Amino acid sequence: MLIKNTCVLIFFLFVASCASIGASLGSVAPAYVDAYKTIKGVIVGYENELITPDLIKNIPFASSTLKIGKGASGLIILESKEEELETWVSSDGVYLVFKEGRIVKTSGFFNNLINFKSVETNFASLMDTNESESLVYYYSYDDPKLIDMRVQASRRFVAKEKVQLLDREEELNLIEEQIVNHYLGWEVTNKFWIDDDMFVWKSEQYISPKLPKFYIEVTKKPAG
Amino acid sequence: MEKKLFLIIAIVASSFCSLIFSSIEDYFPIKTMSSASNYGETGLLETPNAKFMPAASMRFNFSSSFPFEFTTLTASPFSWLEATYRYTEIKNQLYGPFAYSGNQSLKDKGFDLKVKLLNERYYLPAVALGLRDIAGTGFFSSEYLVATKSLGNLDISTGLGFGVLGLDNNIKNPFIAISDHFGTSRTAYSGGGGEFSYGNWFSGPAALFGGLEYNLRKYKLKLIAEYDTSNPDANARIPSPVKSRFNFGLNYHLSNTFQIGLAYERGTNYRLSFSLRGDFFEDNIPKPPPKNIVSLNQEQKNKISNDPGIFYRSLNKSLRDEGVYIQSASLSEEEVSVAVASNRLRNIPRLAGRSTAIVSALAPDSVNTVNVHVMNGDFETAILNLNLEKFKAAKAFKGSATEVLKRSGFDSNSNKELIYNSKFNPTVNFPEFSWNMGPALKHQIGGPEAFYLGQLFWKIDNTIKFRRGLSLYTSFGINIYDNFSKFNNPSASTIPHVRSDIQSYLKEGKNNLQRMQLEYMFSPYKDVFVRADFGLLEEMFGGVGGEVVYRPFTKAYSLGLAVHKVKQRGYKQRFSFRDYETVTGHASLYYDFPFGISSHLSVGKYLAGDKGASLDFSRRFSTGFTLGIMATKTNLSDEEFGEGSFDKGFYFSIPTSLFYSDFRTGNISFGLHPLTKDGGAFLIQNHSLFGLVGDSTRGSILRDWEDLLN
Repeated sequence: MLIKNTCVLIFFLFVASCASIGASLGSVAPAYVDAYKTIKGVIVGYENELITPDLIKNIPFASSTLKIGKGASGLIILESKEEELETWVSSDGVYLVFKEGRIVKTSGFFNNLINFKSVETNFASLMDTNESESLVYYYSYDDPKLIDMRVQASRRFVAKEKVQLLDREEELNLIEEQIVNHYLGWEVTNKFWIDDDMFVWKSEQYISPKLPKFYIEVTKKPAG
Repeated sequence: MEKKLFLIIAIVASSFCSLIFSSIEDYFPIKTMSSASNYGETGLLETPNAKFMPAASMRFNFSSSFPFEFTTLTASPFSWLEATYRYTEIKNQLYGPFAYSGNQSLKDKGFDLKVKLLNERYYLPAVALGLRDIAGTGFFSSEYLVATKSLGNLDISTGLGFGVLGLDNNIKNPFIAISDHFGTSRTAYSGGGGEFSYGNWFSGPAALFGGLEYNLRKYKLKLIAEYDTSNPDANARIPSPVKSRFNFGLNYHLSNTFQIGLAYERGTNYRLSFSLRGDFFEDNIPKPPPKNIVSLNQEQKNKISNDPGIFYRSLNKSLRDEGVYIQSASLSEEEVSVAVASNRLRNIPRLAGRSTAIVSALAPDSVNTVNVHVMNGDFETAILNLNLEKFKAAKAFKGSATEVLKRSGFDSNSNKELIYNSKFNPTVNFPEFSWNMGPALKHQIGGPEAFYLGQLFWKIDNTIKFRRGLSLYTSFGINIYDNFSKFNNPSASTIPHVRSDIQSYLKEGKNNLQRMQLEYMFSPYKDVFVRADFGLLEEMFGGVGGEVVYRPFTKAYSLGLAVHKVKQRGYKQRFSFRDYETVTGHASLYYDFPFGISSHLSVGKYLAGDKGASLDFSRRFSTGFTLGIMATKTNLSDEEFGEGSFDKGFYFSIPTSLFYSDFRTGNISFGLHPLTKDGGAFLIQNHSLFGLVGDSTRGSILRDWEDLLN
């Protein structure tokens, strides 16, 4: 009965209707396609924007793709660079500040990282050893306000691996970083794929217990 | 002994709880939600508590054990009210004689209400009053008063139960002090159910119940213990063995909206459950901001002054990029008027704001007012006259939507639409043909023959639009799969079978012509909207008729009148008719109360010839999420109407845009009448005039005004 009852109620929930008169021509049952897309989006994720090498080539700025949780992948471009801090912006007004490939500040989300503190952000010290390195990070957020949430981090170089980037395959160094806040039970793993010059080409990062994972891939490297 | 144990657990548990006020509490990765009781309302296991879901929430809960399996839908139109619809499988009883319903187990429907009486204070608990199974067969009929106090992560609840919750009879019914009536035994429920048994409420034996819920947020767990006073072993109708009055459970949150539960009840049985909750108070998925439109330079604007065609074409293209379709436009020296429609932006201020932003980027500098004429279907429903200087300042963060409002005006001129008085109209070639097709479902659920009898069919809708306002709508159904052959429950209704022959319609009309309706809509006077229709109007009736709605733009009320002469269609639903014919019609009053509450009162003659009134109340939240209830009472006697005594039901509607990262206008809608009856039956009208024009009044525009700049 469990499966039967559940299916029936879920079917009910997704019988769509519309209060305005549509004018679409040749569409195939938009209400049902809508329902299907809703279910698929919530469960599997949303379709990515079509980002091609040609598109990247024609944009005269450094660019990266950004995907948040199950959201669609979109493009962000480098707005400014001051010393080690790079500010990237998306077309819908989300700003991300990166320091050596790590997100250290955001704006435009319902919950934003306003400060990230660590004695070390560079990965160079990990490259000569297989041993893990323990650090303490402090995260601060805006809404709800939280200053210096202490997080224990353990990071290590895992291996060199071939990574498919937008238009090529590269052999990159994989760094894994486990971060834990015991009180919250927040325990997640960040991954960074870096080249031998310590440039982070690709990463999967958590920046807040309230936000899903961020997937970032550099499609055009910033100059200098 | 067990009662002492209950007290000890309460005292020990409360000593462990700690009060933590640090804001890090807000950062648990998963926000543990309020638990659902087995019966669906917020509570522990068998017993309720005084916690509530936030307003604009809905929860689907499934809870299975022996002998009861509950499937429930709970909604909270206010933060102080929860309403639950419950479907129960009683596994140790048969639905009916074997020849009639086979091995199918007994099913029961029920409806519960829970109202918050007091909010929780620093020293005082929250207090709630609830009614279970108020219009059902009374299997689970209970009333209760319950208090809950949160001490850190621990919620302590205690309450006074009556009916099934009072079967433990461990305290004298305190209401006897008010009237001896409360001391009398509860009367048996009528076999059919569906009636309110007010006389039984809070009467008969009473019992004190209680329980604890500990929130282990770090582990996404809730631990539950309760003292259950429903005494299933003493239940005269469905007795079940009991070894312990204590029930224990745990709920694990897989996400912010989904939890699974396991419980050990009565010392004998395990129960499995899961809950899915949606919170529709806010749209939590960011939507795209208005598109950036680069303003034309002076040279380009000069060209526009000489050749407005450039302006109209640019406007057409830029609006289309925003999902806004231009219907007509007029450019003069100081004003731009533009009629727009959108199947992306449902919110009128947002539609007007985005249209105005585009106009302001393209129009000559001399333009100081933009008149946005909003259209839905072929009706012009509202006009917003926006001051461009204030609008531009607000867009540049040098002003606000409120300042724009002070210099703006709203109006309605539905009978003098801009499309007939404009300088630019996009070319439309009539007749215009459009179609949709796709799979669809029909079903009858919870009948005696089987729990689910349904049909999967291919639905083809097409529309031929001959001119503005005049369209022919046709809808076909082609059977793919069905199990309607099991139908074995012909109508025994003593009044005309206007709906209760549904089994014959479903069984014989598997491949059917669902609708073939010629419809004409127009607005003869300001704020008066008319629709005339003719043909096969719905699956069971065809005929001729019409509808008039008077919607004064600046008022909170609207009036409507619909009259149709109809004849009942043949069961095969092709072009044949049965003998029954009637005239049906209703006068309607729509009224918008504060807090998003709307009402709709209809008085008139229904399809079966019965006369009476229908009342509908709904609450619409700023996201567009709507919850509503309706009831109809006609001049039929209880016997003529049959089970339920009068028609009643509920519905909800969730905008699909709440699940997307872009705007869209569709809704996921669901309405339920527990019983299909001939009494109080309306003719189904596919395009309700009020549905098209009702939510475009001055009040609706002011409600959403802050979205002008978003």
